[in-house]
Amino acid sequence: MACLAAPRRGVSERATEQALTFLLAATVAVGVALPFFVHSYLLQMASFALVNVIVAIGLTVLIGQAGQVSLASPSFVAIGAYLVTHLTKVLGLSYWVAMPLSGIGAAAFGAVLGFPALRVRGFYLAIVSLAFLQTTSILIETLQTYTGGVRGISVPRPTIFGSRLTNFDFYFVVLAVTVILFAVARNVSRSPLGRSFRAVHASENVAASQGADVARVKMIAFVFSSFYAGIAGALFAPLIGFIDPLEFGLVTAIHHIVFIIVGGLGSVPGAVYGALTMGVIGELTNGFKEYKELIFNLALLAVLFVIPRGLSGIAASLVKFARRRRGPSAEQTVREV
Amino acid sequence: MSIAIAFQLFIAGLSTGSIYALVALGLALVFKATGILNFAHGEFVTLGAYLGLFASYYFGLTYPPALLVAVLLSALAGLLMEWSVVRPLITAPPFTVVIATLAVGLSVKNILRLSWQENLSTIPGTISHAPIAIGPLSVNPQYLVVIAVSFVLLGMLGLFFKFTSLGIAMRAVSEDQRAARLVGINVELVLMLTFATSAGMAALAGLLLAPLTGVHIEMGWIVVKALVAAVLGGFTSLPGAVVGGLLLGLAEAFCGLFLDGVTRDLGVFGLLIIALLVRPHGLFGRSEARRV
Repeated sequence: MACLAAPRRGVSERATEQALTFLLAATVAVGVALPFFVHSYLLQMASFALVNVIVAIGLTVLIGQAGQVSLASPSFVAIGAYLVTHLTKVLGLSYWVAMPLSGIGAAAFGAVLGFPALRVRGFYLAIVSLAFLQTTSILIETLQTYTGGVRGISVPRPTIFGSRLTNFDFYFVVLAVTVILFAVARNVSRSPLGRSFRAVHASENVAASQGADVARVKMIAFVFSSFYAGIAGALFAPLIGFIDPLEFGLVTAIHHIVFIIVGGLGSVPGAVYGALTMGVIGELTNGFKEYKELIFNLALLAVLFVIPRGLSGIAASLVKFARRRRGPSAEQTVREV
Repeated sequence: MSIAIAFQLFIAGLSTGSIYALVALGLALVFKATGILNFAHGEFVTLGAYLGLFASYYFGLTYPPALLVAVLLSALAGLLMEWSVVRPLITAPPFTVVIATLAVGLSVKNILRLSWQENLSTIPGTISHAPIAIGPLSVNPQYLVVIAVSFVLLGMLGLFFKFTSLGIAMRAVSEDQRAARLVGINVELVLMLTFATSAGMAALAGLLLAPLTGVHIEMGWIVVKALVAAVLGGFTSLPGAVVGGLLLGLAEAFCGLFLDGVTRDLGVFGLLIIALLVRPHGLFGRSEARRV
């Protein structure tokens, strides 16, 4: 894997990088300031949007970078949610221990889905993941002692030093976890591991010939992405206070994929802004009552027409535009010749 | 298991399976031609059933002409979708196009939900469910209608793809667009007609399904089963999609004998995963060349 060396960056790439860093810093600043300006309902919506951001980050690494199409993301959110509930409610663990444990538990199930991926590819893998998704929703309905079955199960809000966290407090927990997980994913996707994800995506044979252990890389991608989904689930459950098993179906899986398409497939910052954008559109269309869903879907269609390569595609075209203005660099001319 | 029960399960499985086959074939046809998984396909099933319902409710048509009108209008809708959504996005990444078809499908579903308030309706004039006796065996006649219509249509499609110049052109475009263009095929026209054919087949499946399940807004979910069927058959093979559909229908019917509703689906998905692990490209799919 060491042979997959880091690409050299040009001037315009560095400029975009700086602009992006600025944008991310501004976003975090807005995120920190938000609770002091909006009322509780919007704050709750913002927390949900951040949970979606976490799932989207994990998924864009799996689908966009490693090229493993999975529709099973809601299953791992569900596993995280039910695990954290069981660990805190029944086993009496502290939430702060149970949350990371739930992520690890979901990651273990991610490895289970990773096994078929070693043999089955692309489209066929998507169907296997669909079977996994359906199997988990059936198991949720069947294992009533753990999940409450179709009636759902209530989840206690975590406490800190004996006092129960309010929506206001819990928002900051979600925000902090999101920022940490974002930083990790961004670093991973620039590390040799991230490059081997993309190498496996581009061509398994070439990646193998360059020394990447394809099976191991795929497995890591599945474990990584399901850990993110598990943590998202562990945050989601106490946030909403009640787990409804219908939350974890194919519709949710499609929502997750929409986030990363709108953000631009494979881009970690793209996943963040994709999930946030769709959250905002969803909130804006809420006022249209029975026409809400129709307008939401037409808005999605419009977004896809305007930015077919997603939000991160805009950055790429800006770079290209800047290059054209300046004329090709010597390095680029050499590469093209 | 007595012979009579086995026979009834076989008929029931074959009729569900032939509906799956119709939907799966349309899905595979578009996928082969464009490399796009059409997520709106399921909503064309719903659209067909609703258009049939509207034709009989608002215009008083009986079932057969209502069926014809609904299939033609759905085919037109498929054609329009290719022209207005898929073609403008031709240079976009395939994933974007897939999500765009999904958005179209969901919009169609929203419009249907807004235009018809009933949760569950039936199209009047379909034949009765009273079982008819064949010797010691009794079957639901609707099953026989479904099987007959599907098999006739699948046979006609087979002949169409094999012998007519349009059918051959469609297969040529699905094999290799550039080569098809080189031999003088109007690729744009053929793609539009491919989408139209596919949508028409989905609509027909919806209209055949309507007397069995009633017309309701969630009918489009059958596309998930069809997708499973198509993948089971090998997504790059058109006969594979048909065989996959029939096999899935039969597997469901016979699993239903030993397992109840929920665990039945579990059994079917288990079979699918095993099938894919044994043959990663489906039963009839060609494996891609692995050059090293």
